[in-house]
Amino acid sequence: MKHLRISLLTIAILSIAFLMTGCGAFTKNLNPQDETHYDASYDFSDKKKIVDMLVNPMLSDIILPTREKKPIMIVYPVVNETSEHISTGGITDEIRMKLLRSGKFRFINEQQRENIQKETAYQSKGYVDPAMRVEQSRQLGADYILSGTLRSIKKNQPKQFRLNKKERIYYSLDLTLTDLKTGEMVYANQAEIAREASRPIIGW
Amino acid sequence: MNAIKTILVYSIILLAGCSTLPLDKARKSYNSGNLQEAESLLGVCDNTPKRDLLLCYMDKGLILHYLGQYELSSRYLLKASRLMVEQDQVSITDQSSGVLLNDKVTTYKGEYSERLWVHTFLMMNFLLQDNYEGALVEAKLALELYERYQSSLDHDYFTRALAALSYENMNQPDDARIEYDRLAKLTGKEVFKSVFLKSDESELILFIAQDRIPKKVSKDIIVPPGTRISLPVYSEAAPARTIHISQKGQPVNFHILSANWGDISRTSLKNRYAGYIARHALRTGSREMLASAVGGKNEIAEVLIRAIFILMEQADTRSWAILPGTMSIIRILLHPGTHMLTISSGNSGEDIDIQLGPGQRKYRSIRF
Repeated sequence: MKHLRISLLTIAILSIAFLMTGCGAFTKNLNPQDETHYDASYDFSDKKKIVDMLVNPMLSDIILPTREKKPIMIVYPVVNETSEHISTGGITDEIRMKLLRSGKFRFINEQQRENIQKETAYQSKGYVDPAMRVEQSRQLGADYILSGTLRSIKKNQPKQFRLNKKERIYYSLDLTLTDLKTGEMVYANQAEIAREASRPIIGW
Repeated sequence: MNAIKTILVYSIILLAGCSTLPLDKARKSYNSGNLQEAESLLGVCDNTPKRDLLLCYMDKGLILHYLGQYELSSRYLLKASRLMVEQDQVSITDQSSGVLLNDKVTTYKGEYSERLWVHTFLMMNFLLQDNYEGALVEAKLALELYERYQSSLDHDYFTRALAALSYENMNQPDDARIEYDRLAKLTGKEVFKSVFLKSDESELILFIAQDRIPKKVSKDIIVPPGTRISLPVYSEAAPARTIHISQKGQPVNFHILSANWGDISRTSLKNRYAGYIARHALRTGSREMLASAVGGKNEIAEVLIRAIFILMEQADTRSWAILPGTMSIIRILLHPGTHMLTISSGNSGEDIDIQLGPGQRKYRSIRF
């Protein structure tokens, strides 16, 4: 009887110790290049993948007529038409950064327009040395507009007897380059990601 | 005697810890019109038991909405939305405690209708902040719920109209038309359709909340020798009062579409009754077995345990109790410029001073 009690106590202590090991907090660094998905929804791994799929062909193909000077672009924010709150600003920024770093294009900073106006207006008020004032009416005009739309189609598994809930999500990002002078769409491309994930219907 | 002592100790433990004081206090403040106090009483919901966390997020989001703090309101409602997804799973722990004790000790997952209205308030918040992309995301999530719980939610014309409007704002007229057509089919009349504003036109869209959602109360049935069946039901809903809009004493033409959220809540709850009854049957069976087993050893203990079971049986009357009873969407076409409108319903009224630019659409949320 005594042995039985000791054994039960040991099992109980070991069980508690085993359960407690999973409760400790921890932190670790992840490699942003690695693909990690917890569910079917859009995550940071997708951003890089989708941008690479769209920008790399733009850099390798000759998509614009040859000009003496580098074409000037203005990038408009990617429109989110999915059923998730996705910060598409991150996609827009990454596309702009990749194209800018390629050295093939020049960019207008659309996001800073208001601040530029504020700063130039301040400089012309007389506080700034006239020799150092920014000359007005010298801003660049864009040759092309780069715009995009992120869309998704979600499909859930139909209701039936099952232990897991499956869902499939298809994402597509369309990118379009429009000639500002003619309104002609000079380049268009699409990147797609499709994913399936399942989660148990019953849990603890 | 030991059995009786054990039963008493267990019953004290089991009956304790069922109160959600901050939530109740905040609701009292809200209902007496003190929204600021209600908001501060809820804090950041960190004092709320996990099983009632969804209620706290929903209440906080709604109160902040009517305080005009739309961005902060969205933060809490998005937390509620995420929690609903996380909780969309049958929890063994939860079900076991529900079978052993009562439904009130389980994690509150929200009625189907309440799950929809989290997205409704988010849509309103985003529209009020001119964040049309955000509103479209919520519209899509709301339409998913319409598809999933069609028989419970189809009569919420308000949310569907918001969804159509969200498509309209994002320049997706085909999707907007599909939802407007569905509304026309459901209501039997064409109330709304896409409006393409010309340069000499502008539009004011009002979201009007009236009254309170009916209270969820407990309906008890006692079955001899000692079984109490407690089911949640909604009390009767008050009919919505007519809304009048005038400018400088002259009536203004408008289009209105209303949804009685009390009726929708009632239908939504009825559609979940099968689950309630199944859990009741399980609970009654297991309690009967336990009472008989105890009775075999001690008759007084059996009487005591049956009495405790009767006391423990409580219907889950938790709900998003501060919701409005009726929601109406009103569209008013106006000339660009400044307008001073008076909106009244029953004895309540509110003045709106609004400036509209050419081709501009603005939104306002009003609570009577």
